[in-house]
Amino acid sequence: MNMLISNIQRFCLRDGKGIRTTVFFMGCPLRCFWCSNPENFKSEIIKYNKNGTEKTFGKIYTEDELFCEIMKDKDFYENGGGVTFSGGECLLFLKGHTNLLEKLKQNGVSICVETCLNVPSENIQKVKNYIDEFFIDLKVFTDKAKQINCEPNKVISNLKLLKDKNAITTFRLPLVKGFNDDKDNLGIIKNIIHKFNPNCVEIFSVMNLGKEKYQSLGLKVPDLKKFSPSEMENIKTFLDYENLVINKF
Amino acid sequence: MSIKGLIKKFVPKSVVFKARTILAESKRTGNKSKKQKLMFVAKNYFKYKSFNNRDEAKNLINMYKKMDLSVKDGDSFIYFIDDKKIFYNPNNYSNGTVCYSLILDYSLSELKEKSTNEDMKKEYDALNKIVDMILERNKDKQNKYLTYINNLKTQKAQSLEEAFQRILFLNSVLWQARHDRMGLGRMDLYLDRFVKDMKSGEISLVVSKFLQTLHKDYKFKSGNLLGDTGQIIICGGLNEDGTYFSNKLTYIFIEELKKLQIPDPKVLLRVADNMPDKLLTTAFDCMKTGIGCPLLSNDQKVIPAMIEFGYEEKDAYNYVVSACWEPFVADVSAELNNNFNINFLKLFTNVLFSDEMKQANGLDDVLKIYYKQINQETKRLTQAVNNFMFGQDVLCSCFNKACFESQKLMKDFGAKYNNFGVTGLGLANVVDSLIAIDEIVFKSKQKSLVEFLEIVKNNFGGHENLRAYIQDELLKYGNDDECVVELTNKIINKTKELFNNNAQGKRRIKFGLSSPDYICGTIDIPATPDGRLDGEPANVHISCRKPVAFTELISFASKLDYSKMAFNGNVVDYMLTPTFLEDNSQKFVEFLKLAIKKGFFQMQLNVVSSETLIKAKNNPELYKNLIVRVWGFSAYFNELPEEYKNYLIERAQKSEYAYQ
Repeated sequence: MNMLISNIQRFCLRDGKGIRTTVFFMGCPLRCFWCSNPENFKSEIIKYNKNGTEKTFGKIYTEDELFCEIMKDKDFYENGGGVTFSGGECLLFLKGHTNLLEKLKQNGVSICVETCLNVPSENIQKVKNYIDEFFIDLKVFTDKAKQINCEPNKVISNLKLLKDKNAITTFRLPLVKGFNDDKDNLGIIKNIIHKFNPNCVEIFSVMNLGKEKYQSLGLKVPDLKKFSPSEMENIKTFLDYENLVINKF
Repeated sequence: MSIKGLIKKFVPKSVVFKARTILAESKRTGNKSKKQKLMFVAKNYFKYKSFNNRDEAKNLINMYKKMDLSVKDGDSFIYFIDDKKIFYNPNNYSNGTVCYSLILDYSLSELKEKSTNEDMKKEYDALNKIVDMILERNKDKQNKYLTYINNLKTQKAQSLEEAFQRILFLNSVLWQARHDRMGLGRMDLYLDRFVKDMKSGEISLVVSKFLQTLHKDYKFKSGNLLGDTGQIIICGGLNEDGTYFSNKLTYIFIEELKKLQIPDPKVLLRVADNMPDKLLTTAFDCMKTGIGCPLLSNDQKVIPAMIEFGYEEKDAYNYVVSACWEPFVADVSAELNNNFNINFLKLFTNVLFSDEMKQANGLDDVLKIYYKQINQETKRLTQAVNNFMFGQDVLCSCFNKACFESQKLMKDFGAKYNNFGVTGLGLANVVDSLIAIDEIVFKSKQKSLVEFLEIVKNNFGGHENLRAYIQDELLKYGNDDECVVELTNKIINKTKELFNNNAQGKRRIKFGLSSPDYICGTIDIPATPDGRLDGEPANVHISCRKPVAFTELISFASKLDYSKMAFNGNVVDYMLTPTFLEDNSQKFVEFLKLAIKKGFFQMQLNVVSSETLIKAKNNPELYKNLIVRVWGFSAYFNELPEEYKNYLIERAQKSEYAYQ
């Protein structure tokens, strides 16, 4: 089974230990209006026009091809580096590629995933033993979740699954002004954090990173307002968790 | 008869030389138009004094007689530079270094005593005379620096401060005698004995003062671009037994440059995978500030290539570099490594639009036609290198260990090594062009070769889409794709073969893939199949035209074949933002370590964001101290010509796209 990938970014120093290669899958159950990779909403090749030239988002890879791409930086994966699967939602697709995951493990490549956990539980069951670290986006747990197609119950039950596995987890809170920064939502998130006790929590104010992409896809560029440093500090204090950092991105 | 012809016939050579030197000076002072430059020469012609006697020692004495040698400040090193004195000979030995140990370990009288060569004896006498002149003109003053100067006559150096004063004395005479862009050598190594019992704090103070003294006459010392002074200090490095050498000075030179935040002098750090982590972190902390140094030179790649070329093993381990990055053996060489250039791109365009090229049926045919050009050029270069005659070289011979031992001058091949280096320009654009021709003409058959070349010849006019496709979609030099690496190595190895076939004379040639001429050397080159437009710059050293991950560029550079003779400077040049490095400091040091192991040859970083560069370009007065790396040197951004500024901005933007 082939995979539809929008980008393979080498020399990533975030999203896990060491030096990493991040693989962006196309296709996502959510529709976050602040998303910086809107080309990955749908699992299909997208043609677009840039300065009169036709270009595409998306390329199909076989497992072997993707394995070769990831292994190009093998010599830089010492110190715990490796691959980070992102997207879109990589956990929609990885369950069909346990062979690839197995091969990567055998070659000493660490595997991380960036996920919203808004996927069927079996998707996680199938791959969780291969994953060294989970970066989990906690976005919205109030009624507003519907606006981005998110199912909070699904996310929470999947979190339990990972808690049982004792996986290394980092929770990430993309803060969107006027959307998920209300006390109700932050209160629920606070409970989740304290209940699941992740290794780390990162909070950050979302930014207009994907402007050019929105334009090339003919989508409306979101108007996002940044939180001030003091507002971020207040949220940090509210969440009251020891291993919590404010990220710049 | 042309104006040039008339000048040649009627104007004495000495007048032309002098005018030319003043013209060069005028460039540095910022005169841009022809009229401004000529006015500068006319106004200043009589202000400059020239010394063109054949007797080098006599020239030196006459010049120093006319210089102001009064010591004004009792708290500074004694260092005289007079930019209005011209000691002109076009082929003066430059871009090398001297063996400073000779002036530290011996007095001038001892050096003379040990000499049998009359020219050398006279030169030591001249230096002695200069010392006397300095003492005589300051006889009413007393300070330790004057004592150090006095000691030059009969004693060897006793302390670090005295050693620095002696180095500065010789260094200033070299500059004044127009031996331009001479490096300082392996300072941490040859000053080792002076720092054994010193505390770091004491060393730092005197090092800082020394660096500032060297920096003072930065404008006078610069070549075509401000900052290009060649004042390079080599630090660290592998010993012959495989252990890594470093001492307190290795760290202090880097730390003090970081504190001073000046673009010159500069440090090159010889690196290896067994170097202390702490030293790599110190180097990174300095690089992070954006002053463009230290440049990292990978001993594990450089030394084997030098040994394979024919340098003795112990000598290869003792390498330094010419003004930018071209390796040669310290103390015993008379090697010019960056006076000659092989312009791969120019050679390519010489035949690109020829009738012969139109008949090519595949990439091999194209290469065959191209190789004929490289063949001719290697012949020409070999001849030029072997016909090269050193101008005044006695002073440099006096402080070359091999010449000192053989008592023969450089021009009489008194040095142990006499090979010349050639810097290579535009290979990246040739490789990218070949990939484009192969893809568009031979593989996808989108266009015939004649059609495609016509489009290129017309500067891609009306074919902007095709140009964008070539630039954005095709593989490029710098991508670690097997085909790209293979094609690049094919041309590198063919060039080696042709240099070998055409070898003659005592001077052997080595070449490299980094050239300072990436802007000036391509102004008259028409558009090329890689999408480069008429007159646009070539790639900077080993860099990629497309946004590319740093790991990918390092992998690519590590796979190039530098063996045998392709080691005359091969620098990976990458741009990063200060925020990126600040956020990822620890990981970046880990990356550097892995990259050394992976096997890049040399590496330099430009740490500045495109946003800062754009702001600095628009508001120069707010960014007076912004430093950037230009080629093998750093400079103040706002002192650069516009085309360099624009190119840096463009490169920064592309690079940011790759990692953010």
